[in-house]
Amino acid sequence: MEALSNLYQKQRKWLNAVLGILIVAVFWQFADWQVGSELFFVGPWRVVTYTYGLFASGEILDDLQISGIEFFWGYAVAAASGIGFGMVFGISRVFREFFDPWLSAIYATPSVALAPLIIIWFGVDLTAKIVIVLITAVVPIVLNTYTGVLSVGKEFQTLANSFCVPQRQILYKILIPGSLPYIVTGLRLGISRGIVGVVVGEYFGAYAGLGYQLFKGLDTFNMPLMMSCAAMLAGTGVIFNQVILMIERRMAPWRDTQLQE
Amino acid sequence: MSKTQEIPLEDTDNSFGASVRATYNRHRIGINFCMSVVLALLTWEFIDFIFDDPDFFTGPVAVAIEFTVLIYEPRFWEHVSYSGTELVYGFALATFLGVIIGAAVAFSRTLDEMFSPILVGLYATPRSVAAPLFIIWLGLGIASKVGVITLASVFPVIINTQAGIKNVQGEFRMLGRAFNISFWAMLTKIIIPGSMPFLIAGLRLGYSRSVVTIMVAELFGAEAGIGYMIDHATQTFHVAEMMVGISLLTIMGIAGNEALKFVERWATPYRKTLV
Repeated sequence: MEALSNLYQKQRKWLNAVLGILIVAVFWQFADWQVGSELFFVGPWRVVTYTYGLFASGEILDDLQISGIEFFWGYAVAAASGIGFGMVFGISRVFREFFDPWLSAIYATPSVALAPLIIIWFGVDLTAKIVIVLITAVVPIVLNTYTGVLSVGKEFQTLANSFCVPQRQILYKILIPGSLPYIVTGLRLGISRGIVGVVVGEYFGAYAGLGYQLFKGLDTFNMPLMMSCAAMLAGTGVIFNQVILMIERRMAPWRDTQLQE
Repeated sequence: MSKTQEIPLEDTDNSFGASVRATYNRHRIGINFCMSVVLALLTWEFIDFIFDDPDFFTGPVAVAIEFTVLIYEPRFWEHVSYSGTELVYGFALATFLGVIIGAAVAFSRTLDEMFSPILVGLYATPRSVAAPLFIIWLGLGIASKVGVITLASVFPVIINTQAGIKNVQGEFRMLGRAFNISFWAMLTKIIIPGSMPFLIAGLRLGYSRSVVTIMVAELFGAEAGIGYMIDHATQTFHVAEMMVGISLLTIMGIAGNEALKFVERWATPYRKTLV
């Protein structure tokens, strides 16, 4: 008995985390039994088996590929341009003062609302969805990079200036590493926004994709399909988030990231 | 001394230019702000002038005209009040649940270890993709939108409440314990005021998410609302009406954020001394 409680004390963090997930899953499954109708509610076991079925029959692979392409290109362009613009805003005082009111306005604007207009401009092609992912994901990346550059201690820059360090090296050695935690936070926030962008983009007309399948499920009252698509989208968010955190731990081990917007 | 004498000597030639420059330097943030707004509006209008196709693009003038037309239409106010109701209920519910769950997780170590991994995991997921599910569960009416908005905005409130309570400095708690104050006094005099800045930061994040989620929630099926208006306007090629809707959501976001900043200043007067 004592050995058991010792084991619990030693591993309590992991055990409790697993226990928490189990509790949620049991409640979810119980709610499923209570509802009893697959039209309205699906338990975790059914979601897992249905998702497995989708993969086993291979019908979801095309959708995964299409959504993956949309997300990848949109997010990659958003990350590159977001970090670039954020750096410029952070470094140049004139730029900052000039665009600050617009940045805070853009932050408050639901960029998803522009999706229908983007569809009008670019058609229902892949391009339109990539642009939608881009505009939804880029906002937190720009804002966080910009905040990050401003947060880099002035004393580091003064130090560099007094040693006559060239501007380019100040950028590489001080500004980018110093703002890295903020940039990573922006990238993480951009992921979930980008995935919402994929879903919204596919809502307005698509022939394949996870969002497309989600809405097919909605139209045909196929609750297992909807739940398993939603679960896959959420799971993608969690996985990408962990990947970025891992990269950050490699690149900036000196700081612990806090999620903030 | 010599420096202060040199400046007027240089400036005697163009004292007007110098005074303009001095005024600019004194008010440069305000002046740049105005210039930025004016310049962007001009660029926007110019792009509209080049495109010259109201089905694809509208300038700020057309949007302003559209707005003055719309405010006389009762249907427009229906949309606004519908979305406003969603926002108020959704945000209120998110605040209520967020504070309770956040406090529970902050005070109990076991609950923290059990549910924090799930909460942090869900924080990183796109939660508004659950909007279609909510439509099936709660119908096309206002309830499903309140549900989606609550789900989208509750997590920052939970996480910030938890962080706020954990961040109340240990010495204040120890001081309270040394004076043997009651639990109630500990809560109202130390923990709540101490966690207030974090809580309000969480509320601001939650609020801006709520406003953004109005759009997503109403997109997938609604009977009224600003998001519905935007979607409907786009599908019938009324770009000006769509821009009015988007600007309205932006204004709601900024106004609420400013209001919460004001609440923050009022609720945490002790912060002034720190900053």
